[in-house]
Amino acid sequence: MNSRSETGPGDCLTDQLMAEYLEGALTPVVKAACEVHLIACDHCRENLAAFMRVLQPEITPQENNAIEEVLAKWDHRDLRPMPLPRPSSRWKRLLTYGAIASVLALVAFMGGRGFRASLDELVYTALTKFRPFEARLSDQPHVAFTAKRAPVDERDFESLRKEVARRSADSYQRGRFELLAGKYDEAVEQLKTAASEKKAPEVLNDLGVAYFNRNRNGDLKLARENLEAAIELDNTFKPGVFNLVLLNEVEGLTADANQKIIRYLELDPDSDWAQELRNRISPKDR
Amino acid sequence: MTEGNAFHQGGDSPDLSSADLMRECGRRVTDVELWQTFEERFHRHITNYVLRALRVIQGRADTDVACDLVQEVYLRLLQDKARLMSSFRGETDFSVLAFLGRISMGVSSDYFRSRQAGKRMPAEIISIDQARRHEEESRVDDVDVSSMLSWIDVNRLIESEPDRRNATRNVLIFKLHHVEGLTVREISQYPGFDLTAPAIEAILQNLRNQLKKRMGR
Repeated sequence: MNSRSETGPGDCLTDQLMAEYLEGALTPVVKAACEVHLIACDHCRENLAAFMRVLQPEITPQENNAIEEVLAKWDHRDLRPMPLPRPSSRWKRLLTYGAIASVLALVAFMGGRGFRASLDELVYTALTKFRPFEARLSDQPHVAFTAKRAPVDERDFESLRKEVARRSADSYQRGRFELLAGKYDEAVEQLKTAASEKKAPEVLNDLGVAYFNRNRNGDLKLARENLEAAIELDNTFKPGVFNLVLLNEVEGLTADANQKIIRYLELDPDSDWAQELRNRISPKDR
Repeated sequence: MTEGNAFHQGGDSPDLSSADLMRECGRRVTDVELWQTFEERFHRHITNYVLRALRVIQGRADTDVACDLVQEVYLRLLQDKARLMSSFRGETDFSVLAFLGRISMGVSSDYFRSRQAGKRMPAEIISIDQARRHEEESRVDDVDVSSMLSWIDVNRLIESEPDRRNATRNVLIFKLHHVEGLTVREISQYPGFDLTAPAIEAILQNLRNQLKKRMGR
């Protein structure tokens, strides 16, 4: 907001100094020096006047109406990122280069809004904002995957984890949260418990994803078992088919991967997930 | 003194000052309860500041844009592990609101600049007569501005101010009112001026009389 003055004596006022001036927090000498500068420097005085207009403590009825309108829109949007004129690049940049803490805070913030949101909703909200890994969880909205991502700082999750512990949530929800946090051991344990309680394609798929991401000795085999079990229960279960494409690729089974892509495109030809798989087919195989 | 604590924040969590709340939210970015308090105390202020900043910058405030920019304010606060919040140095309610006002203004200015940068001004073709008229009008404006500036011979005005101790403050108020267009009431809201609205009226009247005297009216 400030730059060096061409017109007034001395340096231009910083924003901080302007705030302190308006607050009456300056010593008489500094205050007088600010005033001398503000009288002579049009740029600083304009900034001060704008600042004074913005900070006015009184709110007119018209302003109040506009605020209510924005607050209603804010609630309606449910804190999902709404694009600015050049939005997606900003979101991508923020998320790619380590602003996951911001997303978590927004999720926590949303969670704090009257504590209405369940853990399920919190995880879903986070998934609308960033994609933690390439594999696809059940009920996950599509977000483009960026491989180059700063590692998640575990400390960012600690407060949220405490909050999660306070909420009533089952093993499946907790397992998904741990997956999001990159805690694959915990995720596997929670999701194993969930799968033992309920054999559902969603649960088996997410357990498969947990094994796939952990990828220690024997994990890929367990991932395949669970993903295939999910499809056995429901042969139209798209996330399971999607993840089997990735698994086949990782294991070097290109023909099987292509076969699964074809199957996926039969089930879901038009979505962004489908486009993502289409892009994986080499030109000669298309 | 002005209207007391016009900038004082309500006591929804009286044990945590606004400044401490700001710092704590910066240190514990995922603490739901803290952020809930932050929202209760500041979300409305941020929304109001963004709307006002848009009005100051572009003369109107679109509520959809404002909604985007409010979100942008939060992102800016949280950037770089919420460094801005955790390193906040103020102590008073006013300093917190001023801080949020500055962020809101910065976000709104950046938005406006990015929009301006994307625009290309189309070439406007006007007739020679129109160009001449425009030139004449510009000359009139130039004369008005320069006469006004010579009018407000600042140093002399300060010298002529009988209240020597507050001379610079009073002349600044004069300029804020007559040049920047702030109302007496708007000026009187700020503790930095330490004046009630009638006191400001009196100062303005006195300085106007001084000017008239200097101009021989």
